[in-house]
Amino acid sequence: MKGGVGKTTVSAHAIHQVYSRYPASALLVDLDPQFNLTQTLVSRTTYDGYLKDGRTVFGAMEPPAKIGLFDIADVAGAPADLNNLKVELRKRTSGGIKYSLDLIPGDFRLVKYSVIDDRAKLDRVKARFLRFISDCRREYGLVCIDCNPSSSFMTLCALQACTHLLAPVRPDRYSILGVEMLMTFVNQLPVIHPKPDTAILINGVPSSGYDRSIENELRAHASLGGKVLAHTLRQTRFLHAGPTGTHFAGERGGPHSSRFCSELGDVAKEIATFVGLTP
Amino acid sequence: MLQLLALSEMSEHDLYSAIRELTDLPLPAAMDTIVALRKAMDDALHDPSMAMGRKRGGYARLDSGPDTGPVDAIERLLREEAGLPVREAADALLAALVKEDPGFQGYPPLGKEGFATWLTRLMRHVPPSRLLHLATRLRNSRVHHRPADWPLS
Repeated sequence: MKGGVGKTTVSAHAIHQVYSRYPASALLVDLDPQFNLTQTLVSRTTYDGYLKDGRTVFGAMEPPAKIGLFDIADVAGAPADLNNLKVELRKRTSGGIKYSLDLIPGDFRLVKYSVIDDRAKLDRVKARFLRFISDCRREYGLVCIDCNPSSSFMTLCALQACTHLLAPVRPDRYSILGVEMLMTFVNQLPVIHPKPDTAILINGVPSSGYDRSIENELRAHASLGGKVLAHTLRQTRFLHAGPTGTHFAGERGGPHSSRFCSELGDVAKEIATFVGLTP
Repeated sequence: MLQLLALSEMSEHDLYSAIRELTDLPLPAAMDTIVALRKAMDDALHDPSMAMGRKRGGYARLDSGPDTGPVDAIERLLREEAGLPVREAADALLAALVKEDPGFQGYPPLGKEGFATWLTRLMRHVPPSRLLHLATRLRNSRVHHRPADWPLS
């Protein structure tokens, strides 16, 4: 429910670490119309090529159709084909098995679902997306959907598709109130069923002068406290979106990078355990 | 040395002062100062009265940065902030675990090992996030603070 807490950062960099350390292929799905996740990982030139080829998440929502920007095709079309939409970011082989980290690039055209109110057409879009994610789950050990911070149509699609919900929060008052609102939203909305398992990741902890009162309140909370991951992510330049270069933070070198990777690895281990990738 | 200064977050003014101070200091005096500072830092790290605040409700850490991990966090919460001796801290944590899950009997008791070692053993049976949750509740029950205007419900 709160912007700027690190959803995209965690989607990109923590999930990259999960992919790198555990025996599973992973798929990142950029479901935010602002598609910052895609911008973090792919250059503009490369992205423009994907857009031209129709290789974006929009293909998971609607079939190709000549239609206006703020309308939805009346036909369901053939199911979305994962191989036509995904792009490979990384690959590796371990124990003779090939693993990949792939991306379904984002698309600004998703913004139209915030202004269209034709329920029947939106239900058709949602059904197509849910089927697509179900197909993706058969191919990947982990599918991570990065969605925008609002109670919007896309958020609802993501919440209905997911089995686990990872909510980053900043150690500030607005952020933790936001996660409380998110949990209320998830718990009380009947269409979200079954309810996803939830974990909360504290992100952006300052390296000095840290006031722990917010973290203490969150960790002590009767229903939220046990969901907060033990490890936190501290503020670090490694997670800042730089003006040049699109990359995973764990692949950046330089001073203190090994310490940062170790911390990110601790978070990745908890995430892997949370989603069932560890025994 | 220039790389170390570049990595620091000193302002330009402070950088000028630091470089001037270094260039003005004779080499033997500079080495003596560094050795003395290292000894002082080492003494502080190993002095229990510095590392573990004895005041109930307060703590005297050298820094207030993030914990190094869940064991470090639980030690800080129960030993430093709540001011509990090791045995009391372990007993309180075990009691909280048993209260949540009365049927489970397998929690390892505190032996002769240190608190941190025992916590590491306990984490083989209990997720660290759950232990942190319970430790924070124990800490909050002992440390009183002004309630927030917008508390979690």
